[in-house]
Amino acid sequence: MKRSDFSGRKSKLREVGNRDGEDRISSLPDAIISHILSFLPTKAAVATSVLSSRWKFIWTSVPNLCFDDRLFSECEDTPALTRFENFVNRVILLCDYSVNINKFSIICQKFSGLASLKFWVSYAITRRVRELELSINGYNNVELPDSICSSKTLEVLKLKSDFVFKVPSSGMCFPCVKILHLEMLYPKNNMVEKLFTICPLLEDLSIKGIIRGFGSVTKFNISSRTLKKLTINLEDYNDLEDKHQVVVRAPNLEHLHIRDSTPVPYVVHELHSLSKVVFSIVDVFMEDFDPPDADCVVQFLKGIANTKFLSLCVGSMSALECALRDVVPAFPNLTHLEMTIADLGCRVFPIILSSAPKLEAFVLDQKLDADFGWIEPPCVPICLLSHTKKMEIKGFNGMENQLEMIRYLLKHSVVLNTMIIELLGKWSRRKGSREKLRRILEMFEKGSPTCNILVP
Amino acid sequence: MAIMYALKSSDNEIFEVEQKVIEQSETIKKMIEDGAATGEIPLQVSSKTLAKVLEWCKQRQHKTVENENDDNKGKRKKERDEDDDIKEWENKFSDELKADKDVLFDLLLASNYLDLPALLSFLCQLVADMVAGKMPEEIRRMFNIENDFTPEEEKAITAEHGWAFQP
Repeated sequence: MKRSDFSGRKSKLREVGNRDGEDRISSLPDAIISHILSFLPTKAAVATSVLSSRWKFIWTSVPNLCFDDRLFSECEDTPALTRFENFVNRVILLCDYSVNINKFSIICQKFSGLASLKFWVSYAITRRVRELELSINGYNNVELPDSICSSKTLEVLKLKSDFVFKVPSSGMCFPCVKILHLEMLYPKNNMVEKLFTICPLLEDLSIKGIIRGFGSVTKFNISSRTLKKLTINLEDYNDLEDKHQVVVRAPNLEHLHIRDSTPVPYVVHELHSLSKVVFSIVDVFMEDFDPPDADCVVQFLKGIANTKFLSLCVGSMSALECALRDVVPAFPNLTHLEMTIADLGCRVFPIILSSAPKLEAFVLDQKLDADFGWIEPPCVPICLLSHTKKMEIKGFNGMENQLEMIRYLLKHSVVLNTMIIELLGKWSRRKGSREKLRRILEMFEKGSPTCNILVP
Repeated sequence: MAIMYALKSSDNEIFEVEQKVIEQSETIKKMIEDGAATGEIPLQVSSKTLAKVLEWCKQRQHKTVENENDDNKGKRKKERDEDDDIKEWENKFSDELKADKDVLFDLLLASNYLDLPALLSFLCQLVADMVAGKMPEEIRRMFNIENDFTPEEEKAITAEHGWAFQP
């Protein structure tokens, strides 16, 4: 909005004075009023038309159109879904076609069976929409117009439903989309195998889905030179032989977040720019880790080994423990590490320390009732001798073995500044447990004279 | 040594401001780039409003400088604390404006005139929050909007747009 937007009867800036009773909002320039209305749900923006003649048509130039069926309830004569559809159709009919749509959003969570969605999306695209968000209830395929694939104004696309659209067989798709967030039920190969390789400007991709291969393997192929952030969240309820596969090739990728219900092969190539990786395999315990599955995890870690920040969950740590221990890759650039371990994964911890020579800080979160299986490494990890300044040990339960680990870390960490020890819930409530721990720690030998130990 | 500029309000008060602070205004930034900003810069904004504008700009500037000076150590915690501080500051700023709507509207016009997109959006959001969930009569009362429709017109418009008022 520029100065030239000043218009209307009372557009001159006036001095502050006694203005009791004056209607200041109506004398704002149109552009400011429609800016205000753009922060309201479209239903509320339209309702301002009744305020006064000044307001009758201002809403028609609002750049954001956001429709949410949760604002519509049943009434006796017309079903709420029909009223919702009528409302959207009315707005579309009355809106100023010359105004580019900044954001167009349809949230239809309460009802299913929208008849006009394809038309609405097509309308938004002809009005040069920049951001499109569709969140539709129901498990039936929702068809989108072909024009969505070739829009030259669309930069942000967020789809949450089982959408189908014709991915172009050649060339490109979504020529200007930078942010693409998809939530899919049962992703199909005709979409996920191709789509993420033909979006030329993609920077932020998020894929969430529940996998059912229906007899075939679902293959995600993600290949992009522009991609900076990738988030994958998949749940797979297939039989073992039909597990999905993911291939990532993204030389400019910086952030990678993976959450998967199964250890499947994540094949990664050319991740030269990586700085942060969060890798979670959820709900998996040891009995599920066949050596080949565990090997998938090791192969993946080799592919992301140049990252600076790494977070590994219980499942990832367990998988590493099930794999051959000496195959944990080296992490030459790793400075920050977060690990969560349960009954498995304790033995992997010292091995990872030994393979990250530049590690500056780590968090070790223990979710265990039993003893910590600490095994002293054969030689002191290099990071402790030169880089590691901060350690957080969470879930301390007072077991002898955990104390042994802390004794070892304190003794050999030469540049350590801070060690924080967080007690496990029931242990922390016990009276005097902190003081007792502090007294024990005081007696331990410290490799770093400036080390500060905190037991909050 | 920071470069300072003198801003002159419409009621002839002078405000000495650092270049970095005032360059957030696209309007003034262009004036400076054009070399049109020698001596005092006259602005069509009252001193009361200008003081408020500068309060906002300084807070924003403060935030950017702190972020630049950060090193990596403990950065995430620090960012969280800072975010809380900024939220608190913004809430206080908002409450003052809600209490004195004349200042709010003067500030809206000034942010438009000075081309301060972040402030303009912040204020528009604030007004939208005040309007949200209110019935037309409540909105009219809050902002002294006179209903200038004849009863017939009002009936017609409610009939036409009735769908927007239904729950």
